[in-house]
Amino acid sequence: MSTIGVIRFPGTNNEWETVRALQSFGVEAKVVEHNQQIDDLDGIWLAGGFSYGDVLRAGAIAGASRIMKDISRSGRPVLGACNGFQILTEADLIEGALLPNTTTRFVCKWIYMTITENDSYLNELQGSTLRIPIAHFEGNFWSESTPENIVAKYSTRDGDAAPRANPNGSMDNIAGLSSNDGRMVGMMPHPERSCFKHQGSTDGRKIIQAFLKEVHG
Amino acid sequence: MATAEEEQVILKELGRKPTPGEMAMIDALWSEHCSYKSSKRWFNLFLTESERVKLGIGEGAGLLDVGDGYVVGIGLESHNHPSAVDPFNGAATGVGGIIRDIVSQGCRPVAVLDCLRFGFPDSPRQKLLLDQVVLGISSYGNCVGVPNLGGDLEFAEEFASNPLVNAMCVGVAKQDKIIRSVANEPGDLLLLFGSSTGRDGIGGVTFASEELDDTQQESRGSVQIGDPLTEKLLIDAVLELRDSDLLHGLQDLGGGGLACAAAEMAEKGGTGVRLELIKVPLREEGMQGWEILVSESQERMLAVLPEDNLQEALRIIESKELAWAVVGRVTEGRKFQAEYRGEVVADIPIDFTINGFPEPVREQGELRIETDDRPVVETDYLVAMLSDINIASKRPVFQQYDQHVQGNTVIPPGGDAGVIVLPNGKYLAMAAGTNSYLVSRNPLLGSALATLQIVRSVVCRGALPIGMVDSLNAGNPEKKDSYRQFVDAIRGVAEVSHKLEVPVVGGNVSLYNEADLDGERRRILPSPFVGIVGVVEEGEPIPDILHPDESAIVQIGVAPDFMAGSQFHRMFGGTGGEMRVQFELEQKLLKELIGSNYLAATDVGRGGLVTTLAKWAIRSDVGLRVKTEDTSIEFLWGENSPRYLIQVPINILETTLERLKETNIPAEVVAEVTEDRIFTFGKEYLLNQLREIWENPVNRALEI
Repeated sequence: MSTIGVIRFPGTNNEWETVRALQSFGVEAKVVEHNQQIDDLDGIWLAGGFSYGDVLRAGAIAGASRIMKDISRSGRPVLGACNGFQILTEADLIEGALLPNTTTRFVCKWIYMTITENDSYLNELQGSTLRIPIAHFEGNFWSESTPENIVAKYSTRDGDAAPRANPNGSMDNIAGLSSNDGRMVGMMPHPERSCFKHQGSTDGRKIIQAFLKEVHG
Repeated sequence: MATAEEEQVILKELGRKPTPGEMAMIDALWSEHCSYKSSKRWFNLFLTESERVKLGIGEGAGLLDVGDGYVVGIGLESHNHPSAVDPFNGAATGVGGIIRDIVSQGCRPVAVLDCLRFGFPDSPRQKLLLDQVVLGISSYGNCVGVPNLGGDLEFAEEFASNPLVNAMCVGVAKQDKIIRSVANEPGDLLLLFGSSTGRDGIGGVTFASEELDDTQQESRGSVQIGDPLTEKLLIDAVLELRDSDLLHGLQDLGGGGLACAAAEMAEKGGTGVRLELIKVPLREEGMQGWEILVSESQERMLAVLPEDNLQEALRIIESKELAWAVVGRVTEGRKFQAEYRGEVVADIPIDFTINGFPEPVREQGELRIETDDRPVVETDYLVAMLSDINIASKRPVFQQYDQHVQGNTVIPPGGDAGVIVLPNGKYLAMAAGTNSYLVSRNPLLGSALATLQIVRSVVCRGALPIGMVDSLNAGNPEKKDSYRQFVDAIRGVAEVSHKLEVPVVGGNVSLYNEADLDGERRRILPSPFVGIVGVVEEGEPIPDILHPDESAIVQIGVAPDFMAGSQFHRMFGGTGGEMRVQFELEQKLLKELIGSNYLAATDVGRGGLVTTLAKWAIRSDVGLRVKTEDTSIEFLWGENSPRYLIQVPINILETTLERLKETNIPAEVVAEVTEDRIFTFGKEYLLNQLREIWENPVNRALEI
């Protein structure tokens, strides 16, 4: 059975809900502290929260940590949700940066996002529009050049990436991107919070399913 | 500060002048905030026991049995004065404090709710207060990782100089893992861990137990600064210590700091404590012994544990990179002893510090309950209601709080009650708030009616209310009329606890919420907040959003025969009449809803029937056509009577109405679901237009 490590930095706070979500797929999932080894892991989930209290910038300190270098070298599939996405951009494993929302306020709400054509393990979901919650203060994606590895855009229920569907001012409605090799995906929405019937949507399962498929090879 | 009478009592007891440390300690412990010296005498009015109550009033949280070996812990606290002076930090540390209260009983915090009061947001100052308080709550709660599940928000001129910030926390634990705040065993170690200690918050509770005045800016040093990252690590550490069964006792360092936590735990255990203050990790230089004793630096806990468990406990605490120190021992002999650099900082009997205060004489004045009859203003009531700040959607505020973290949220805040799923698979509904305007019109009946409103919020999720916490906010108890308002508010809450069998398991009192501002005396509207939790034992909670299928909205219960205290009467006048409580019908409706499986349900809240229907339609994005036989003001716009709205599919409407009639529950159709997104009441309103009207006021209030 595959083992997924949910990485915990001081201040990570989505670790247990993520472990529960992953376990519901019948895989081994465990919390791995940021100062532990990752050799025995088949897949890596960078969970949301406020690593190191988001001091300096969201994800900045975690992004510079040793474990991120290990993760980069490991060749394992990675999914970063919310703070996990911020950490991936801060570690320069995914292009661009996540700026404070244009509203200058934290935003927690349900959004729709549509998976675009891409080179990551999420490509099999291309064209799907998913209902997933967001909860962040810095989710406003920005990049100097037009990003090449977009995997998901905020959209209307019908899949239209219209400005009115953009919750945080993100460039081109971008909700998620992958690394150049497609092995690592980062997104602001929380797939692990839309996994069970009681949560009001199970669309997040499709994302996790695709991630686990990549893990299983 | 100690009164002259209190100083006499201290001199007599000690036979000498108290040391600065003893004086600082007594100041804190005898403050209203810690001692409840003006309020404790009334707590016997509450129903405090039931089969479910595992721990009642007296510690950080009340604990309630929810079956399968689990308990739910609840607590509610005010943080008003700090929030008035420094709204961001005051509100943030209010959330942090109540979360630690829950954690100190061994519960994992699973939800927070906030009850907020401000002046009307039409001045830069009021807008700033609102903005910063919401930001403080949001930045702290989101970072710690506890979802926000509700609360309430009300505006009135009387809160302009005394905003109210009360926070509730709900936690969950296995019953055999709960921790008590007690020091039973002489010889046990006292282990302080979490943040280091500084000068922030010195005199905090004393400050909170006096009136604010124009010099309040000088009190900035009495406001604590929060650090949610440390709080998150502290929670993780406590839960691991709990799971390893290492602790004999634990208490959060809140008001009165180390002195209060150590003294209260020893008093409960019939023991004493000896503290060596030199051991306390400090973050500032040159601190005096008495300052270390009563500092209210945040994110600290005091654990009681046997020496044998120390190594294992330190392994856990150090893995979270938290500061720690063994600061003393539990002793025999019921004395509080502390020394610093060879000097005695305190040597005083513990019982005296906790219970030795002379109970102050408080007198209740007479209250004039005004019956206010004015001619009714004619207007488009619905639009006027929805655009009033006290009816308006609070979504712009709730949206700034993480509602989903931890993954257990079933129904988010914004409706009647939030709902989460518990580890045993049952659902827990929760709501917190009051109706300050209503209470101000008649503190006794108003507080009963406002409390019933919170009960109904939980009941319309199909949940049985199993316990409540209260936080009683009022003016200066040394003033007769103010004290009467306070006592009447307690009576109202107490009456509901008995009549609906919802025990009170914890609470808080915040007095002296009045101030002289620009030479004018301003007192808050009395605000007896209650937080209530309820359990859905079987099946699913009743949805709070309308189903779009063909169906009818049935009113069960009755309209009021008075308008006093209602939003309509406040805005448009008319005859007030006399408030009335109908416990028998409340009880009957409660039984009908619990465990039922209606398509959706809500209760008729502020603004009355039509306002409630319109809000429901907007939130659900489902059209409604209102049609009622009774078109009286009381029926259409009255509130504060036992009545709920339930959604019933057309094919079972007749049988449902018949069944309700057989059980003697008044029931009638008041609206029907329509296919278009239109709300019809006399004329047609587009839902999108009503939504904009309803969401605009709070959005505008947040524009700075």
